[in-house]
Amino acid sequence: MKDKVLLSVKGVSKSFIGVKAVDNVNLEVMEGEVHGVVGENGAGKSTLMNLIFGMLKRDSGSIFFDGQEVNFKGPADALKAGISMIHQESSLVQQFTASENIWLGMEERFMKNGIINNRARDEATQALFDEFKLDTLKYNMLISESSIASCQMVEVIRAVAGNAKLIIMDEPTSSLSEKEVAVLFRIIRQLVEKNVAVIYISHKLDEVLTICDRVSVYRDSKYITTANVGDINRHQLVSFVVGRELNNLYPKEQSEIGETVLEVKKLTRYGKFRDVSFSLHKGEILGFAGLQGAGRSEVAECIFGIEKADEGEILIDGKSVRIKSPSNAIQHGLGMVTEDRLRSGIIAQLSVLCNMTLAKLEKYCSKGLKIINRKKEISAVDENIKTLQIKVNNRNQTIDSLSGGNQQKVIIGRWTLSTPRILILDEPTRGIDVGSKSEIHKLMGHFVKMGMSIILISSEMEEVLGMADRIIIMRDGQVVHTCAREDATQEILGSYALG
Amino acid sequence: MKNVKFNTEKIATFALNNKALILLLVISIILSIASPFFLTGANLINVVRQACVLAIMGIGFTLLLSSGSMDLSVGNLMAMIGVVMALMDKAGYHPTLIVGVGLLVGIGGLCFNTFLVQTFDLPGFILTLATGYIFTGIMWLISGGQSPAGINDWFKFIGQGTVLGIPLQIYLMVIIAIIFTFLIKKTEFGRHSLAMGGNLKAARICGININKNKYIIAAIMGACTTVAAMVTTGRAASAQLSAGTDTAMDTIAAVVIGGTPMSGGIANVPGTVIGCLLIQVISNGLNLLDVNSNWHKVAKGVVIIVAIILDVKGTDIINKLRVKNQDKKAN
Ligand SMILES: Nc1ncnc2c1ncn2[C@@H]1O[C@H](COP(=O)(O)OP(=O)(O)OP(=O)(O)O)[C@@H](O)[C@H]1O
Ligand SMILES: [Mg+2]
Repeated sequence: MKDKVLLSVKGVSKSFIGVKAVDNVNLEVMEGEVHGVVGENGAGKSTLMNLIFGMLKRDSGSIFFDGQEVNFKGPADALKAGISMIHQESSLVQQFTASENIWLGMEERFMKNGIINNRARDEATQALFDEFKLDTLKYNMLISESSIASCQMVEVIRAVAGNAKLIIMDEPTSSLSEKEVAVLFRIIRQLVEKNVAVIYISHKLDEVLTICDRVSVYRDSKYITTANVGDINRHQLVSFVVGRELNNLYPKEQSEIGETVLEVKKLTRYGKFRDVSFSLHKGEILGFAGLQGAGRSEVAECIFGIEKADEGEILIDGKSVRIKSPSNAIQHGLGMVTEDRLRSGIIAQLSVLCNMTLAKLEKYCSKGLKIINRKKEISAVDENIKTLQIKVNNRNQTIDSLSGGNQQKVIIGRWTLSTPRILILDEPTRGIDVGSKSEIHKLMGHFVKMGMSIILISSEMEEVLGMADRIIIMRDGQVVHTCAREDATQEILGSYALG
Repeated sequence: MKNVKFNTEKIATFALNNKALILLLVISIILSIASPFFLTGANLINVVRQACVLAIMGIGFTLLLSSGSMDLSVGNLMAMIGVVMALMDKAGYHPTLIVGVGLLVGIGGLCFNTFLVQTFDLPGFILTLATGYIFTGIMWLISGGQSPAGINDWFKFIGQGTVLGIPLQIYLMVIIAIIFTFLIKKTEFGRHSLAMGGNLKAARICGININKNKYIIAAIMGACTTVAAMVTTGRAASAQLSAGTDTAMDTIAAVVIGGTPMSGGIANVPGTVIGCLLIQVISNGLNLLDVNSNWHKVAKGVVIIVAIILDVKGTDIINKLRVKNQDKKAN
């Protein structure tokens, strides 16, 4: 069945100012195939997909779809031809319901005399949710009030709803936990049965090896190779991606664990989590495992003063503190990389430089009038770009012209520059390639060695198991288990997280 | 060869980053051909002088807009301050007190707006439309419907006086422009303001005290409004009851033409000054050419449209140009 070519990209190139983002690249996808696309941050994967989808215009090369050469003028053409795309960054309308989002641009089918039959539309939505067994979703849920994971599922369903022959998924699982990844895989298998092809972009190579039939690798804007997933192992794939041998993804070093720096007692936020107690020691990495929606991020947000806790107590160095705002938290030596890079991380209009120094700009300012010392600021930023290996042309380019993974690195850089004593990392390596991931893990090790303490929230069990000294597992807003690194296994984490 | 190309690119970039300036030059050249009176020292100084009030408002507004706020009541407030100060002057109060009260009303008025917006989480656009009515109403109430005329010399000096042959208000405008450029580009406060305009939530998480900064920005804009009110009143030697009618819209237009977008996160103070000059040059030119004054508004509208088109399309063009050059170099 999988021998008819559906999509063929030949020698396509695209340049932006200062970079050739896609350089003479190929890609071939069969009907009913799940085709993995992997590569480092900034390798040009998203750009290539945008070229296929008609969001961007290619400079040269040709694209064939369904036997014909195509020149889409915009996504509307691509959708009509039978290609839909789930973007790396959410493209849902926040103020709309799930149902309204899913059929956005396709309302025609529910129209009669120019009026949309909302009832029919909502029923169609519910039918899709039922078909794919997504019982946690409701057709009338408001996107702005839904979790990232639910939003992601809505995006998937929107792509499916258009009856596309090819669905491009740009890092669809970066905000999903394992349970939801399983759901997504089930959906993909259902699609394949209908002979739909899927392009699957991910930095999680295990997923690629699980779900894909073939995988194409890109590096430094160039096409490297395509392989049958059955013919290669993980190790080979990793070295294709990074272009060298990479042995240890979790370079955990033993650091000296000292006195308690942060103690949380019976922290409660009604409707989100309750009676959460734990302590964090100097030099320790404390992992928080659990599913999306278990309340881990909410706990972190309360500690950092983004939200207010209803009950409970927070102690820093043994002293009870009231943290009313993030600025309070920063004064107490806290730092936090939030989960949602787009909504609460990057400031799109500002440069890489401005974004990076924002959390503690006063470090580079004179006393009194707070005039910025440009030289000091630049040298700190340049050094950080080097240590984090961020792919930028220029520190003054706006942050939104970076690839997703590199944006994430800038945000991590922002908080390392603020030199906190306690750093909260909420899904810090989301969307980050294997090579950089191992770098960031190495940095975490380096920080705790210097006496910092880290709270690591991650939906990736391997990351928690690989990096944390102690692990707290949360479920339904409560701590259900705490264990030391030595005693933890995938099975233990999994069983407590699922309950 | 290569060097030549590089330069064209540089010139084009400069032109598009300063499109208001280019428009200004083009229109000025046309006007100096069309009217012999345009390119005279007296007329030019007059144009700049007339642009000052708008520029002083616009510079403050550049900060306000780029930090993600909006205020449509500034014009109404300006008119109200003018009346308050003129009435006090007629009543014989000491200038220091008058200026003090003027500043207090300006700062207080905009902080009041900020208070309502921040406390009740209201959209600034609508709220300030409402408070604008209130300010105008108060102005009519206290003035009794007559513009208080016959102000003292010190007051007139602010609007009419010259230092070394150049009107005082031009000095005011230049000084304010320099201070604001510095404030926005070089200080922590400026950077924080832009961050707030770009992404409020992210800014808060970075430890920026949003509330405090919003009040500071409102206060600064309030002070600018007071200065503008003093210049307007002094220039006409009487408070202008209708001074505020179009001011907010003119200000926003000048700011946007100058390259500060409505969406926040980006500020261009020199651009704002150029934008104000552009608007003033157009109406001055039309005056000199004896065009019916109703056409002035049409012309203003057209210029705004052209500027915005240049803004959006120009960036595209320049990017294509650059990419082409870079690929040529690479090959
Ligand atoms: N609009 C733009 N302007 C300038 N450069 C851009 C733009 N969009 C992308 N780039 C650059 O193109 C390169 C490829 O980016 P792309 O987003 O395709 O990478 P990616 O492979 O999807 O990376 P990631 O895994 O981090 O998402 C990067 O160097 C990026 O900085
Ligand atoms: Mg990408």
